[in-house]
Amino acid sequence: MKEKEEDGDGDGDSEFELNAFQKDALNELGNIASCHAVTSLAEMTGVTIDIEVPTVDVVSIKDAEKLIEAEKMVAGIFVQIDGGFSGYLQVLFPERSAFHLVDILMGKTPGETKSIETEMEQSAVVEIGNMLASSFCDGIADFFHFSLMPSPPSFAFDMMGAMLENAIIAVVQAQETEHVILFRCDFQEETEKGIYGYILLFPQHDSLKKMLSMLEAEVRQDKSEMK
Amino acid sequence: MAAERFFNSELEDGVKKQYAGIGEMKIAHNPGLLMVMGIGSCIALALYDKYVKVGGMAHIMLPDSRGGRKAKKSCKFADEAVLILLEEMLRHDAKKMQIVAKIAGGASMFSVMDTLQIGEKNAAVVKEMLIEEGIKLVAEDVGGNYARSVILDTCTGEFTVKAKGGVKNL
Repeated sequence: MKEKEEDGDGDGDSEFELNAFQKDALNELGNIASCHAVTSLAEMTGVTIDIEVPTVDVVSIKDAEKLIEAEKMVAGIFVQIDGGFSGYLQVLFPERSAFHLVDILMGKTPGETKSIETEMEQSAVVEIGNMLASSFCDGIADFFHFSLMPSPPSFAFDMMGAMLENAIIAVVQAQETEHVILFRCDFQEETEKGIYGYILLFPQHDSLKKMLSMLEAEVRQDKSEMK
Repeated sequence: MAAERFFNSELEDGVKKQYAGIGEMKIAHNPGLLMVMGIGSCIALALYDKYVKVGGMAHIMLPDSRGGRKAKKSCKFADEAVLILLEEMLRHDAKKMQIVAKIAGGASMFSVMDTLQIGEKNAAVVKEMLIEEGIKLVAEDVGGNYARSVILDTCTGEFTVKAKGGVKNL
């Protein structure tokens, strides 16, 4: 039996790596932004939310789907960001968490929502997603003192792999690249009853470079002030 | 490399499963399962020769390579993927006359990205290239606004498309 694994893929003309400092800086930025986002979620729903330390990964596009469960059903939104920084942001909730959120928002008894089909149910998820997205953006914008303009959100309830793929296509379409940078922030309800979610940010490479140089400048300034 | 293999392949009933990530292709002789998981506007292109029992699957992302600036061609692009996969099939003893094609994907999931019509263009370019190469397209499940997972069984040539709405065998 002959068998061979092939990947007909033109490797790395645009290799992109982050050094330890840059990774730390981006992690911290992710932390600030997701704290912003999750605080507003807590205010809106009245549940206490825990966030995990955000991770920043540079992944090659062919491996991107290995980071997640490609077939997992998630409900969420897709937003394009422009302004001081451009890229794409997704807020995704696994099926059951999305149902739970709809219950909370629409004042139903827990467990009542079993689908996300009606316009009301969809807009509940869109509202929460959009609020998380805009406060996440606010967090970043505040930090850098520039403004960010998120596009109106568009909704989907489908396999996670396909959601991710859309953002990857958008990034690759704009800039030919073999790698995407993925900010991933997972959060969950403190009591672990029901709400889990992911915030995924896919920056354009130019924007990321700009952001990194601004971060480095900031750190240098801090150091000189300390002296 | 070991980790890579662990993710790429596992066994189901003793049959080796291989996943094609974005822009990748996989080839297998019988027995084998070739899979593309969770695609939206991407296309899963399967070529199959039922006499030699060899199948190939490509996970195509964008319609065209914009002039082929790169020296190395890639399965990421619809206009190059058909040729690359076909060549690889022939290298694995398939006969061009016996090869048939099946495709799935090309959906449009988010209204933000509708203007680009990537899914639609992907499907159109793949079909065009198949015609150009004289490969018969025997089954397709394209368009819509939902995600799909696709499996090609190299034993039977069965092309299974799973989506939110259910499972289809093409």
